Amino acid sequence: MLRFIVKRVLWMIPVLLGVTLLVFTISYFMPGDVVWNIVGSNASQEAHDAMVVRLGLDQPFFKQYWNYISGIITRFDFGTSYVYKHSVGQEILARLPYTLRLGFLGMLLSIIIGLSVGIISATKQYSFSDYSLTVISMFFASMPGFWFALMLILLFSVSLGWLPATGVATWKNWVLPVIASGITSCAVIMRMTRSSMLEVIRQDYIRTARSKGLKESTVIRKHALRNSLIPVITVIGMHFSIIMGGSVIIETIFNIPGMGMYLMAGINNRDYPIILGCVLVISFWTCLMNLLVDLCYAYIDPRIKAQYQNQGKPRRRKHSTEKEVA
Amino acid sequence: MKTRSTKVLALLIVLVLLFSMSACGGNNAGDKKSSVALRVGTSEPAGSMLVGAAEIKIPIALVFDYIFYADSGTGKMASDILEGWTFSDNGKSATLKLREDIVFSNGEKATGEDLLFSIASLAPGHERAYAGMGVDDSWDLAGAVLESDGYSVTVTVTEGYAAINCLEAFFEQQLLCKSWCEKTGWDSDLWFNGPVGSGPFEVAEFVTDNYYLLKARADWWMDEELDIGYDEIKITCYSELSTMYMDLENGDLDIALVIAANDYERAVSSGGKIKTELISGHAGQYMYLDIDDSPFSDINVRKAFAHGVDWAAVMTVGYENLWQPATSIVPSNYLYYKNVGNYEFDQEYAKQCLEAAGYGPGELTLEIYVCPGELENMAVSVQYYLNQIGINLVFYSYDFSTTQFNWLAGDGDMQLQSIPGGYPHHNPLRLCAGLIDGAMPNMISKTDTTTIDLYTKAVMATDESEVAEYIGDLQQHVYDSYRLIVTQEMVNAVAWNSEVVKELGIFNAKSTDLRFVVMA
Repeated sequence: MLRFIVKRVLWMIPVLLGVTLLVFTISYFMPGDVVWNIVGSNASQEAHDAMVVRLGLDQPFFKQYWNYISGIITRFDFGTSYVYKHSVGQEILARLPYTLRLGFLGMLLSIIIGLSVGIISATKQYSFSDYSLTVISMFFASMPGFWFALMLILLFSVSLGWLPATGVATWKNWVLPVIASGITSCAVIMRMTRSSMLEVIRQDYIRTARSKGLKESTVIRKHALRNSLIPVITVIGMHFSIIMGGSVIIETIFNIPGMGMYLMAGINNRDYPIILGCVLVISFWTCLMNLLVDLCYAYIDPRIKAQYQNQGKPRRRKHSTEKEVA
Repeated sequence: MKTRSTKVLALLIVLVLLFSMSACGGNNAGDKKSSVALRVGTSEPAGSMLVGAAEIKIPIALVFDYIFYADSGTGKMASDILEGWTFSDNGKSATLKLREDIVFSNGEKATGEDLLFSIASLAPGHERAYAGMGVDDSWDLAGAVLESDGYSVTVTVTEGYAAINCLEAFFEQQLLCKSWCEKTGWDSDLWFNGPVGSGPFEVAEFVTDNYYLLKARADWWMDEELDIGYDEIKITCYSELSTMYMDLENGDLDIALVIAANDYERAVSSGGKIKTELISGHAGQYMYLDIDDSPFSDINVRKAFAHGVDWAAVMTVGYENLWQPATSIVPSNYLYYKNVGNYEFDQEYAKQCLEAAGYGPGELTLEIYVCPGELENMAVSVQYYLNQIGINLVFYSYDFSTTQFNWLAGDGDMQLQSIPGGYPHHNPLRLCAGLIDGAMPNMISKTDTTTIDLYTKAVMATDESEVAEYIGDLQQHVYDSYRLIVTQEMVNAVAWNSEVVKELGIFNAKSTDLRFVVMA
């Protein structure tokens, strides 16, 4: 198992290198000139050229890429923002907690509500509650997140005055952003849980469990749910990554100083160190989520765990001995 | 046993994660009303407080003093840090005398060395110039000298200019603490979260692109002359205007320095504690034409373009009711403004001009690069009107950096930009200099000898009536020769909570100096 984990961690390195190379290449060859953004359109050509040299943008493509990558590997230096002049790495570290908090709490909400509602919907198939929950989940799954966020502010903040619209000071500031962030994932998890549970509930071993006289809640919790979790965990892992990358909208609307807004500022200003740093962090996070999802598979399904443990071990062919032949 | 211990371990991990997330981050300083006396919202990003590197001026005006600023009553240049300024007999030099009682926030007294450093650092080629904001070459900044009294600095204009007209160059340039700047350098992030200035406030907290929290200095040297009605000010930067307005409605903001058109309408119609005002942007917006190249090198094509489009309708599409018609390249509240009128919407005349230029219907195609948003919408409207007179318009929508790049590379026949041409100066000389000499090509054409001649005479004049005459003639010439289409005078809608703020005291939308806010 440990070997499996180490192998996966090592595989992350070429993946991350590939991502940085791709983003760096796209940024490098994109039309436009970031230096005019920095010095302003009324600056002289001399000021523009001096800035190009100062930022090292006159160097060849591979030299610039090598400087960037070697800085990360040797000094954990993500570079300096062209516009803000601060260390990108430190700024990401300062902003990451906001984005992680939004992501984790959003997913927690999605999982709790999505799983519960999905189970209810599956166990009460074709009932009124099933139909109504299905409609509601489809509504939230297809609704644009930014619109829902604004509606939440309008209702709970402006009309009712119960919760603040922006800021991060108290727990109240986080209620609306977390709901807005998690609602789409919640609907998707609910749909996936429902369909996965419906498949499992029809299995023979569930019928056996019921016929043994177990309580329905025990049957669902101990037998059905665990076996239906594999696809649900896949969706949860995917959405965790989506929330990290898609937090820019929620952070913009609720004015949360997280990584999403930072990435947006970098894109608007063509501030390549910021773009590269944020993309690298998001990629790392996605790889980590994929690894955790795979580990969760192993935890839930012992067959998968055995598969991981046997990975890489040479298969021994059983040879018959002379004695046996004789 | 093993299963139970695994479950316990998993639960512990989850609890630790939740605890760590609840403990990390968070801003405890500024959102509670009792600890922040004034809360201001702006759409500009929170960043550096070095003029030239900064996009946002609001905190600069509170942490630093400007060498000159615009008096909110008269619009003329004023200064809090200078005792006075004089000119030499030949009009070529200006001597600025610094007050002797100025103290920086690090406790150092300001002297002429600091003023000299502040001025000299604006010279092209100075290390600071990497920030892109040098002063134009009207001054010999590197040759500025400190007088024997230790507080006066004499600056000489370069050949051909009069000092009196070039003083504008120091408009909204900050007084810097020389020793701190030399120690810190121009690249430091202290310019964001802890600069040393002579203004009434200093930075207590800063979060990139989010907010500044400024606290009043106990040792401000102008304390007895100007009573600022608050001790703390939190300037929050919003990417989303609707959110800013909702915070104002909720009572979480006291002033919203820019609101969207629909929020303005809502505020006006609803009444209540939210008050609004349209304040002048003191700047114009221009449709730049590539008049050195075909087809706009032909005045008939320019006439067709100017008269063939209903510019009022186009502006309404882009800005709804938050714009004002322009009647000159110089905004109407500037010095030396002359009402030259605007181009009448007359499509029949436009068609005749197009024919005179030798183009039949559909034979002329123009290209324009625009930025997404309201400019793109306006381009669609312009396309509609041009189609009616037989001109095809192709437009490409890119981000600002790409549109700038393409325009500077010579692509596109024209460019409509929301960059104001006159900000933030009240004196049109700087505006005209920017229109003629800026890096952007072909604003009024650098080869147009009449424009350059009139401009040169204006800056060399030492009598104000002469300046007014030449600038007036320049405005008329640009209008008569269709060299530039001024689409609007920019306005901004500002809103505030009248239960907290009685008067804004703001000069214009860009030069927002919040020292003069009157609290309720």
